Amino acid sequence: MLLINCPWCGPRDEMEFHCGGESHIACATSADRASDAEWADYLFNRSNPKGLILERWVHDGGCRSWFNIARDTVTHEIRLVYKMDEPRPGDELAGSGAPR
Amino acid sequence: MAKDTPSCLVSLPDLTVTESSVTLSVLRIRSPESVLQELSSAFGVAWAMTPNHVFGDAPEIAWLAPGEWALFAEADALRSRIETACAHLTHHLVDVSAGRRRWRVGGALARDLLAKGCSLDTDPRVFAPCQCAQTLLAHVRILLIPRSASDFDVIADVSLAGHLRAWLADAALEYQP
Repeated sequence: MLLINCPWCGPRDEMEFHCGGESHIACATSADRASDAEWADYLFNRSNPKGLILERWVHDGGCRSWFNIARDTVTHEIRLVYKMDEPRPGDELAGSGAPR
Repeated sequence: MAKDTPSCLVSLPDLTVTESSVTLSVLRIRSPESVLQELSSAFGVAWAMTPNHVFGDAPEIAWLAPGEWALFAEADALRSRIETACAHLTHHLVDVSAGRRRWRVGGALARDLLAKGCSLDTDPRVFAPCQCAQTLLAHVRILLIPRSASDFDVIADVSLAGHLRAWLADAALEYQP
């Protein structure tokens, strides 16, 4: 079981959390102008890397807040936890295979 | 909300579990940083933004989430103070007394009992009476507040009270002489 460090509640069991999929997914164009292909890409296509991924998680057994984590999909190591309003990490994760 | 008489679920030399109603209101404020001063003076206590922190006396206030607190009082008794303090902000105050039950788990075996269904470290060195935590007990979301090194308040949804009541009674069975 993962021990996830909620930015507010501190380290808690994975059982208290749920993963909300990949973070930082944004539609390239506005919803009413996007082509079918762009919209499908926005909705369905994810990077699914072998290695580092940025994910949204929610502490629904606790403070019910969303936050981001940088997790290695091979080792399950959590490299970084950062809040929703914090910028996408860059240099902190260098040298470990940069996320998409 | 009618208050019922606390009922005793478990009564052993080293373990007691008592169930009762609880008077509880939930306050949500968008960007509460800007009204900390007003809230502090309205309630006569330094309003804390610290996560999982319990403060205040009348009413007692427990942190639930960013911008969200549980106040142990009827919403009607809080409304004027909240409205004054948060006049210019989006805020939300709701009385949830009818939707919650409280179990007081006390005695030398209280921590052992909770540990059967809750993975949180309840050691008084890391979980003191000025703290609270929302966590899972027997898969039920609870608000856990330590009252001393061996007394805990467990507050959960009333709709899951039957399950929790049965679980607590069952978990205490092994301590029966």
